[in-house]
Amino acid sequence: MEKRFESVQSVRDGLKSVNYLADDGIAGVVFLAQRLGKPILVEGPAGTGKTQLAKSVADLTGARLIRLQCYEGLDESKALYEWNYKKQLLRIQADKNSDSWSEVHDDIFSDEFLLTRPLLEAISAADPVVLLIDEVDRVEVETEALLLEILSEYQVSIPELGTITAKQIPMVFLTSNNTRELSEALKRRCLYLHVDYPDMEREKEIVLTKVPDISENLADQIARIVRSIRQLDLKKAPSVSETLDWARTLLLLGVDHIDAKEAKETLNILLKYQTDIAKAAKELSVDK
Amino acid sequence: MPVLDLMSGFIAELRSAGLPVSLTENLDAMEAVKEIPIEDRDAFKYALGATLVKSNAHWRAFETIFEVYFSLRGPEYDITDATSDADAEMWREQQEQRQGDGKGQSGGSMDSLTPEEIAQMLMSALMNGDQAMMRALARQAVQRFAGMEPGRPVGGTYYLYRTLRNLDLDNMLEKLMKANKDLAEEELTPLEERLERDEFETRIEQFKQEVEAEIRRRLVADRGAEAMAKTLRKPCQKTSTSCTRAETRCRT
Repeated sequence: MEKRFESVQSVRDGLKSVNYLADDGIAGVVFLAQRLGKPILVEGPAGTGKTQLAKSVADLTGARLIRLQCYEGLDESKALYEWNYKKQLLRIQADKNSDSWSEVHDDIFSDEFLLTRPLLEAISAADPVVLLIDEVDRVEVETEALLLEILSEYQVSIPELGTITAKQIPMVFLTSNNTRELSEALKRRCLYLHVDYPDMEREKEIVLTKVPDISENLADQIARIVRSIRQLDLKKAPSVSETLDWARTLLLLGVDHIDAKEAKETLNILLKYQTDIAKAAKELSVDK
Repeated sequence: MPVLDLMSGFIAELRSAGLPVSLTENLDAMEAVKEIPIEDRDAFKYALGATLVKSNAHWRAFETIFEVYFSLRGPEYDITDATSDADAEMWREQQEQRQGDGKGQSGGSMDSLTPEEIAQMLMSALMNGDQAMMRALARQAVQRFAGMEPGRPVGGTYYLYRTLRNLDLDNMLEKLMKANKDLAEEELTPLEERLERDEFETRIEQFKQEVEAEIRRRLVADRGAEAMAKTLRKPCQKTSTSCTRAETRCRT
């Protein structure tokens, strides 16, 4: 049985115990999602820990994570289910003469010939699961409709088999990098959570948690520099995962205090565009 | 006012500010708040936010309307029993609290300080990042400089302008940087200087938000939440670019 959260605070503490530092908003929405049995739509810039949130909640509740990675062209047969066509053919050929047609027909459209894809798998699972539908903004608007039945009724309708209803309501996370506006129908079915870059204090905490050997002083400096860089007008602001990469690099290099030289040499870990690097170096006066 | 009435008023207000709140979302919000202990204001806010606001562009407008509707109604954010009596009481408590704040710092009431002393205190609060002091000073500054009169038909922006002008915030950043330089034992590298500057800018921005919040608080106390919320509609539609889609829908 999946663990039931007691309070918002217990979600927050729980997530912290699996190394995910949630703020009040995140913990509050996760708590509500479980209580109300509603999916969470997590939106925000890339690399702010949206996918990690789903993984951490799965970790925390001891549930199995089922992941559906979205991409352009994703369709029913990859997201929901597919009939195992080859096996069906074999079945028909195997005893051509013995069975009547209606028997064969009933037989080849049964569970045995059904290939479950992530969505159906999450619905029909007997053990507790967390369903992660990653980067949902990548599918076309039409494909979104595939998700609607699952998200509101927790069931899948298969014409040949009937409706499969979930034995338990799984926790569902949808993530979006906001590359396009999602349909109203989808949003209406979800709780909405916007995850932004953390503020300086929280980012420092995250660095300290995820990079265990780092000194408090260095973590503080990293968080401050990253905050200053994010305020610049860049093509792509550094994400939390890039901050962590930077922290790990500095640690490996044995840096304990960042000055102009180290900052300049390692900026390429935080920023991935040459124009951004040049701009940040200039703004932070480390380009000499 | 019972929670139900309060909620429907709140949702009506969100809609007129251009947020598309559907009936299902309305019902979800009602369900959500049942799961939340009502005295936990933050959780209450996030419960409403998660169910009613489905776009980050609308979040700011939501926050402001939320503040006017719920936070400012009673001293303990008592949502179930928010009457005009509670407003009056909050007002009185703030007065007392303000005097309490003053005692600790200068031996007397903050009201008796000269404007120069206020400016000095603000500067040191910003230097040290003293949040509580910044909040107290924001209250004091609004009381002193905004020149708010009951029933005066001007918007919050006007009061904000008056308050900030008197505090000379525009030059505050340079003053802080200079003071910081004098304090530092060794010369700051350009990188460190830049980081300090960003830190001070953030603090000054925080202080401005405190001032804005204080002005709203007083306007609500003067005019009532419903009337106040109406004045919020315009700026929220203008500033939030992503409101435009919802706006056009409103117009048609």
